[in-house]
Amino acid sequence: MAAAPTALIANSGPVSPSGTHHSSEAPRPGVLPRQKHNLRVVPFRTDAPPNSAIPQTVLFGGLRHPALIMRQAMPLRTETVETGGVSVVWDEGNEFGFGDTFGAAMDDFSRTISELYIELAEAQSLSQDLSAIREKLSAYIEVRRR
Amino acid sequence: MDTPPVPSVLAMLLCDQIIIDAQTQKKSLIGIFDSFNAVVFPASANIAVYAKLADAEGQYGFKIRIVHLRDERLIGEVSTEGMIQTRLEPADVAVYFVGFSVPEPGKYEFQLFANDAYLTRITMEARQIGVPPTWQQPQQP
Repeated sequence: MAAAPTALIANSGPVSPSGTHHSSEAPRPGVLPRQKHNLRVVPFRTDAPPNSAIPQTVLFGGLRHPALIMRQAMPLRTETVETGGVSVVWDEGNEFGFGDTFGAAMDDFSRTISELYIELAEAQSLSQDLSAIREKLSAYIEVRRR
Repeated sequence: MDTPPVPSVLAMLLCDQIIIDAQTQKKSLIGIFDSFNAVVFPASANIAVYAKLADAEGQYGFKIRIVHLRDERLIGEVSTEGMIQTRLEPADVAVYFVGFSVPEPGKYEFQLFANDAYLTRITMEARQIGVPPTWQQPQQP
């Protein structure tokens, strides 16, 4: 019988600091410690009945733009399109992303929202509606400080 | 207390193994892959997920969801918590899936969430391959 699948993380938790380069690597003194299994098991759900991985609502934190970061996650609503594909909708700003899958729709939303933020930030004069959207977007997105 | 900032993901990779140097905390990612070959399905796989995060500080609940993209079906999910001390330095996240059953050939997606916010995804293609031809001893001249 096959063993049940498990998920493991380091005993200290899933997060660790980035590596550090020692410019003058000194030889490591003393005897090296014995090998040990330094991992612990974390719950891994696979027994749930097969269900859709598309949530009805989701928080968006996947902005991919080198000059922008998120102040807070944006609440989105998802829609499955009958003809195929998924939409993720930001109702507050009336913007959306679309893709073949949920992940692709989130990528599309990331591009859309980054372009919109930059366009509105650079605009000299805006209509009242666009000013309102810029204000709403600024609650979620800001320019990365160098 | 303030809500922890939304992390930016600098990289997310799948690999066979992550070796962490005890002295320097440097990670060696062994066998980075994006496709998985098996002769028969369901196939058992050991998969390590690595992510490098920036702009993160505080206590986070991380979630990795494994999704079959053919019908967007959730086939596995792991949740765990971790503390990131300072946003001034990037942090690494590592989770190992041992004996994970890949049900059938097709595309799968590993989605990363922090405090219920979707951050990023990485895809893996599972392929069925034929049985390799049996090795035969060369004929003696």
